Amino acid sequence: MTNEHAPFEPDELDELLSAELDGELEAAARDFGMSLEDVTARLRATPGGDERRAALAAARDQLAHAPELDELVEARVRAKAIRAADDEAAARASDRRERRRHVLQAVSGIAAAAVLVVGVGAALRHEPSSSKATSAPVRGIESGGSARATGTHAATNNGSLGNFSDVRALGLAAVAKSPVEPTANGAAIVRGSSTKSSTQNNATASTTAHPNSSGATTDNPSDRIATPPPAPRDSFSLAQRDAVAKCGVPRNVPVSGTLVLRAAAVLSGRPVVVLVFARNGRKTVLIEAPNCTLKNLQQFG
Amino acid sequence: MRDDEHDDALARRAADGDSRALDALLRNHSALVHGVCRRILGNADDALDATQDALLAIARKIGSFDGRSKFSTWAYRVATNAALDESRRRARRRLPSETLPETSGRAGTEASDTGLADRLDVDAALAHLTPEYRAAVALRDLLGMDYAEIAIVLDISPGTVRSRISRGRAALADLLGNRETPSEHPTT
Repeated sequence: MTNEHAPFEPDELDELLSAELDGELEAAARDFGMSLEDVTARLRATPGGDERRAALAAARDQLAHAPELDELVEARVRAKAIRAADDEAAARASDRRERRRHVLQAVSGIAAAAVLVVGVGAALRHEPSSSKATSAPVRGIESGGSARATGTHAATNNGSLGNFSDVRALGLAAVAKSPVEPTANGAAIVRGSSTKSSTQNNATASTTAHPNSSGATTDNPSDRIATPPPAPRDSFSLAQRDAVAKCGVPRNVPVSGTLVLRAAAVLSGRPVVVLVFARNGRKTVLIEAPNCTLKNLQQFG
Repeated sequence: MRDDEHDDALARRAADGDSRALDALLRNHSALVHGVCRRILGNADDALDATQDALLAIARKIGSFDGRSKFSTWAYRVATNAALDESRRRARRRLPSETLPETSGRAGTEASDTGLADRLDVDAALAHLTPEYRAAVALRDLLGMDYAEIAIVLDISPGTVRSRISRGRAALADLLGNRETPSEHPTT
């Protein structure tokens, strides 16, 4: 190998001649660490080189042909491959559809759950004075706490004083809820204690519940009343609203002063109407059944 | 060689689910796929099995053909791997065809009997080589791939490709009587 004209070994000769047949002699010479000229010169110097080149070329030509596949067999094999590919594509498409369906189901479930949560939240926010809101004033008053802080808040927001189990607590809540007594020239009802019939009383009281109605501007100054803030109407049942509107001071009940509060409440699970009259710093609380019969009368101040 | 651009266009359509394009591709290449398998495996039955596997693999994997190489390079790599896998399975089965060249083909699997003696000589010559050597010879002399392409397909260096091709040709040249004593070649 060190001699420029030394012949190649048989394996080296085959590799270089084979590379020469394929047009790859230059790369082969480089891999052998020789120049193309040196390799060519040594190939020429190798005895039998030309014959071996011809033999390798003949072998190459033989190898260039492979047994052919029968057309029918080829068509069968090809069709089988395409069918398999089609089946696989269909299976993949089916899998994709199935996965998409599962994803949609999951998303729908999540969306439904979200809607449910939002709906429940909204319902809780808008729920009228039910268990949570209504129990607060009772607890607060009965435990000696601030009736105003809880009971009036519930009444103001819900149009009702709330649920009470104790009539005294309800009275306290009504007083706390009621506004201060109006001035002498304000709308005041100064009713003779028993000179008017209950029907008249009811009619008078009815006008107080509807300050915007024509009846609220009666010409009879004695029938004018202070107009307490109207309770929100949407949180009462229709019957409760009617009762609140129509009830007044029953016959033979000596109450005088200015009506400063008219509200609904629930006492021991039953709806009641609460009227608060104010006079000279004193307040009288009437608690009536929805049919306007007096259930309780309390005085404060 | 093949019209590579035409093949690549067909391959893209086939990858998009065009069955007719896939059929055209397989039709264009099935003969040479079989030839490669036949050269690597040395007998008709195994070659047919490997051809079927190769065409199935091409059909199934066409969606993953990304066009970075020529379709033909990709397809013959698939075919070569199918044939080498079949060869390994055959080695595990230890069939006689492992060491003996084929002496008769399966009826109906080859087009004609012309040149049968030549084919048997080639099979006999190549039977002395390992399937990996036969693969290099087939890719070069049957498909006309250059050394660099073969190196990519077989995942070996171009120098190794050159060596394997020369040994395959030399084995056949020796068997055909061009050299009285064959040089030492790797055998199965």
